[in-house]
Amino acid sequence: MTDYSKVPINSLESLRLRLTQAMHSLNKLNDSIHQSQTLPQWSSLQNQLTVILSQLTSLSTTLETQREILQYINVYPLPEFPSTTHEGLLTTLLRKKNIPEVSEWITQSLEESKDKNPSASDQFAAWCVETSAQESENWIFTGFRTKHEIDNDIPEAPEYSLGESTSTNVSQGEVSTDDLNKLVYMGIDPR
Amino acid sequence: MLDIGEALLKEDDQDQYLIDNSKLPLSQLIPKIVAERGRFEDLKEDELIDEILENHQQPTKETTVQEEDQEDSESFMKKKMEVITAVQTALNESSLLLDLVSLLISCTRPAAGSTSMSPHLKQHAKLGSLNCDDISTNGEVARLAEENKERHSTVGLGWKSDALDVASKRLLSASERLNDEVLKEKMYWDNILETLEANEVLLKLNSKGGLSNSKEIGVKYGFGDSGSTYFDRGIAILKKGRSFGEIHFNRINNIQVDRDEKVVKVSILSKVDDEYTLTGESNSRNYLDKLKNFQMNHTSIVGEIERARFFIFEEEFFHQLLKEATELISYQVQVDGNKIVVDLGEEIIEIESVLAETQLDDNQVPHKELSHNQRADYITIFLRLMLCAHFRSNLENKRHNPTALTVHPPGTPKQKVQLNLLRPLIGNYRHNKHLQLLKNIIEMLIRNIYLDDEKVAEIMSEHIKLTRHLAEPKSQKNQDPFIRCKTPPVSEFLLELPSRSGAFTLKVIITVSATSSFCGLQVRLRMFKILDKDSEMLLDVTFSDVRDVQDCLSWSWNRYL
Repeated sequence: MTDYSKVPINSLESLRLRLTQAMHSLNKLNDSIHQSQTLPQWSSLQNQLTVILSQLTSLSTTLETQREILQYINVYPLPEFPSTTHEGLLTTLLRKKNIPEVSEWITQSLEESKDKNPSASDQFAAWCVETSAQESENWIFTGFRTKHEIDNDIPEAPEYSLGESTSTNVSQGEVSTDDLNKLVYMGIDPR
Repeated sequence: MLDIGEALLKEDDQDQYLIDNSKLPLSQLIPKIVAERGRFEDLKEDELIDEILENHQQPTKETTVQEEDQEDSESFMKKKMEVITAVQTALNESSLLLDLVSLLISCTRPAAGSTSMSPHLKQHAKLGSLNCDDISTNGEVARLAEENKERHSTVGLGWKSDALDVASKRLLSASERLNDEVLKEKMYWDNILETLEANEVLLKLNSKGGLSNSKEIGVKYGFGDSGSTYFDRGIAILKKGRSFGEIHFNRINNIQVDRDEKVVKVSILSKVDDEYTLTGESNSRNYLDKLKNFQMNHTSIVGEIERARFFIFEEEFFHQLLKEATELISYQVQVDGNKIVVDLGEEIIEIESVLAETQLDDNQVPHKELSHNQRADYITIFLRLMLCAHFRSNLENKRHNPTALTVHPPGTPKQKVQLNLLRPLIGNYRHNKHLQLLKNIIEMLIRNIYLDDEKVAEIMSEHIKLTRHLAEPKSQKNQDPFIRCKTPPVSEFLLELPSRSGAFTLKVIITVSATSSFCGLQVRLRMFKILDKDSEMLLDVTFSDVRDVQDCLSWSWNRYL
């Protein structure tokens, strides 16, 4: 009986979950890109990208939290593994080296960050996050009023406001045109 | 990803309102060529060759645009391939990792592991064929891991700064683009507001012909809602220019008609020595000058709408005149090509639609001082007013309660307001002529009977009374200023003639009226013998010709007076 007690099942299980999700999203993106000569709608692309990015982030967070455990295990094949017939498969599975694109990517990044101070960069990143959040706050507003009008509590110009219109100068007992239209089209009795 | 989005946006960057000549069927293309270049006989090969050569000298711009397009599509394909490779690499790597994790898990949880394994691995490797050991006690590994940790953070730094660079560039370009867009939108909406302030009617329209199902803002510049029944209801799309956000005024009409700017001109020809000579011309310059001034004093879009409104009115005006003229052939109204000729006996009124440009060009058409110029102007004003009155009647007609279906069984055409532009003009002219003629006849006959000049003068001035506009409903006069023009004229001669013996008075009532079509004549002649307050009716006859009236009067007066 093989002793499997050293296999960190819980860590692996959480990893498996994130990986399955990421795979699913990647597959979906791959399919939608291949569907036609042109690309799918940019908004749908953007959405998929956001989903994938958040899944990758959660994957890397999981990796980070499980690092203590995962980096000290050594995986090896048991005799049941058909290592003679499928050596390639085994080496691929157990490969730890990055693929060339990624190593190149990493080298480039290292090159770039050679003379940078990590702590300053963190501060800068924090500033960036804060500023961008603030800026987006500044520019996101809805409705028909301008930012200036909202901040200074200036009411909407009357010509753009909906609702109460010309029904004011109707004397007692008469029905305004608006009310009549409402009765005809919506069945709302004004009385 | 954004680059690809931009490339995508460029794909439908074509104005759907432009007509591509090469796609027109021959049946439309030939008339178009004829309209643009005149008759085929007049085309000269040399001129065409010159023109083609000229055109060939400037295609550089177009080709560069094409090249750019090609480059765009090439770079788009390249970027797309990059994205595809990246996605596939990511897929591949994560799939491998998932396989490894799953296979490792399968040692204790075979069911869970096998669900996420790739089919390939499932086929070749047994579940639970991997194991692992804890090597945390190994100091070497721990040291390596510590080293790696620092390296990892530096790697992240590079990527971060890279990403920040890209993000700032993107944000910058996005803000620039947004700024441009805002400027464009502002320009467009400013124009729209101006149009709205000029009291134009705006409406929502479906964009025509485009791929997208977008809505556009349209403007009603025509008279479709004002009672006009013209096929072109005068609706235009206010399109936004792609490069500057400037507003474009694009008319929409279902039928392709040539859109020359034409005005209606009236000329009067009078008979002098058995020949008709031009004695009056309406001056369309006033209108055009006014229009020009308006355009100069207003923004381009409001001016353009006004211009379109002016010319669609003129277009419909002439169309309605032509339509009416074709029904009046029995009253000496002829339609000759693009000219309506109204023959009034002594005079001829010609109505034609002429190009507006020619009217503004002094050298081409000098406006002569002619005796009947003002009358010609009045006629154009009258006809224009009558068209407005017609619109109004149409609107009033629409406002009536719908009639019950039993009154008009399905299939019978709805009663339409009769178009009365030329009819009242011709009708009243003829009516006056008939009145003059009758007056002359009466005078002549009285002269024949009484012989004495003094007596004749006395009778003519005192015993003959002419009452006009009898048919006009008095009550409506204040409500409808056009009521006199819309009702066929009726006038009445009242004659009280003493008999030659002086024993009794002969009362003659001659009612001259036009038929409902304005142009026909109807004369009712009633004659009473009045003797000491007793009246005896002698005659009550109706004629449709002045000569018959003359015969009847001559006979009856000879007999009774």
